[in-house]
Amino acid sequence: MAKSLLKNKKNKTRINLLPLSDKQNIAKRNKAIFYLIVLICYIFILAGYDYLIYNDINNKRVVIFNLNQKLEIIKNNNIIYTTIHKAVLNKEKIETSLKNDSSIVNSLKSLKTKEYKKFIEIIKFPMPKDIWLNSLSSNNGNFLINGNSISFSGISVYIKNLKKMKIFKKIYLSGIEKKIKKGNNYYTFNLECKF
Amino acid sequence: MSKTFTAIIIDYNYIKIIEAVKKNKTYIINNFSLDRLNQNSINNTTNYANSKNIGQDLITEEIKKIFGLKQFSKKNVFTVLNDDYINTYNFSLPEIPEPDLSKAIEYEVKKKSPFPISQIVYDYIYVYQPNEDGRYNLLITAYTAKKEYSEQLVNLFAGAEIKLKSIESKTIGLYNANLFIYGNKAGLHYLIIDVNLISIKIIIIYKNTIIFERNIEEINIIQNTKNINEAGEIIGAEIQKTVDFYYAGKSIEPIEKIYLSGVYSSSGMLKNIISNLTNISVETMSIIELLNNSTDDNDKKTDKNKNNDKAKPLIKLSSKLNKKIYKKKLPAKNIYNTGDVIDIETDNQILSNSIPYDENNLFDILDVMLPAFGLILGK
Repeated sequence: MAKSLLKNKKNKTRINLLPLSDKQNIAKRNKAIFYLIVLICYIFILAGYDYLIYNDINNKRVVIFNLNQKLEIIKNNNIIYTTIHKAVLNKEKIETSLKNDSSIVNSLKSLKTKEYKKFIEIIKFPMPKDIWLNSLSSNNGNFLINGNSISFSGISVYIKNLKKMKIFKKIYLSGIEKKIKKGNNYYTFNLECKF
Repeated sequence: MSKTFTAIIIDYNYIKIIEAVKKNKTYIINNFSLDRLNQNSINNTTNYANSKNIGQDLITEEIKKIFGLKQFSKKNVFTVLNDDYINTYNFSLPEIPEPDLSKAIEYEVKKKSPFPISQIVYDYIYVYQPNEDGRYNLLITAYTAKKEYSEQLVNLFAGAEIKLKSIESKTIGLYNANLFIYGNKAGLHYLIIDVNLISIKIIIIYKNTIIFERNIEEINIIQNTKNINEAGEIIGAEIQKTVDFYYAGKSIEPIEKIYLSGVYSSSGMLKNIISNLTNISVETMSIIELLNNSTDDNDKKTDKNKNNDKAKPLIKLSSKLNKKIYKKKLPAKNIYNTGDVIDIETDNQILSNSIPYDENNLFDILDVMLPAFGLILGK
């Protein structure tokens, strides 16, 4: 026990007989060296720490740059997606409108078919002897009949006959004009017929 | 992380410098040198702290020249103050916190030093020692020196454009080298003897505390002895004198061991002579031995079966120094009674009456570097 305790005791086995002033100078110099070493270590640690932070910031910058790039890609993808989505929606709208249009076309077709039938009926219908037609046209569901007649009475008979056909709800005489051609007198008339 | 240290010891007429790098737990010796001061300096060196400026300037110039030529590092330079100018005081204190301990030691130093505290520099070493109560005492050795000597040394090195990191003592260098090599296994009561080129230092350590030290100057074993037997007898006699003086009036445990370092530390014959004369076992404390032990440790680490050892500090030579030291290694020379120098015989045996020290042999130089290297070890 005593031996182990003795091991911990450190004997002093050296002397220094330098004058006190020299010893103090050495002590001061050692102290200065110590502080210098501490300062250098501190600077090194700071520089090291700065370097680590600088590296860390650089790494983060790279990460942010990469993230930004990814974000750009995602944005672009999103734009493409939105465009496609819009296109799909447009397509649907177009399809719907096309369907509508086709139904209108179909209805128009059917309507045209009906009109043609009516035209044919009108054309087939026996006209008075002094009446002849110039043109048949349709406008906004109305029939326009342009024709010529030698007399007013002929026009009147023709209107009565058309009414008798019961194709049109109303028949108006929208215009009548007297014309002379090669010494012969006749009247040009316009009839508006509504279904 | 590595740190380069340079230790200089101005030892009478020699300048010993060793540079090592501490890398983790390994000390790599980069460079070392042993240079003799020129004659003008020598006259002042033995007393350099009190010498005139001329003597100091010469030493400064010499240091500057050596540092320039051999390119030693000036970063962390340690040196020692001549032992003559250091007073040591041993005392014991109870375990107290560090700031209070410093004050208590200052108080003790004030009491013991013959000089006012304002005129001295001091520092201390201590070891913890358990007492009978199960607590700890601090066995303190305080070192004091006059401030002017310390300042002179600082100025001396400042002249060579070297800013000293610390001033210690050769005793502390040897003490730390011993602690580094043996740690707590050195023993309870032992003696360290450092045989130098022209001096001998004897330190007695008891319970890890430097209890006694003695410098024997101007003994120049190399020049003044005729053979290793004679050198051993002189060293043995000095040890005996020291031990007798140390034990006078005391009844403490006998000295268990002698640790031998310095110029003859690698000589087995010298160890035997000293051991026979003093009846104490002698062990070597040498950088060369440390290098060998480190090599052994390296070998051990490669052996998977013996890999349980804790990682011990290693001592190595730098590759450059390793090449240099082995390239320049000279054959050992025999110095006979006549003083003539001849090459050793081809059978490589050292004659019993020879002194195998060669001042040009890098291994031998390295052997006298231990006190300086001790200043670096453990830093």
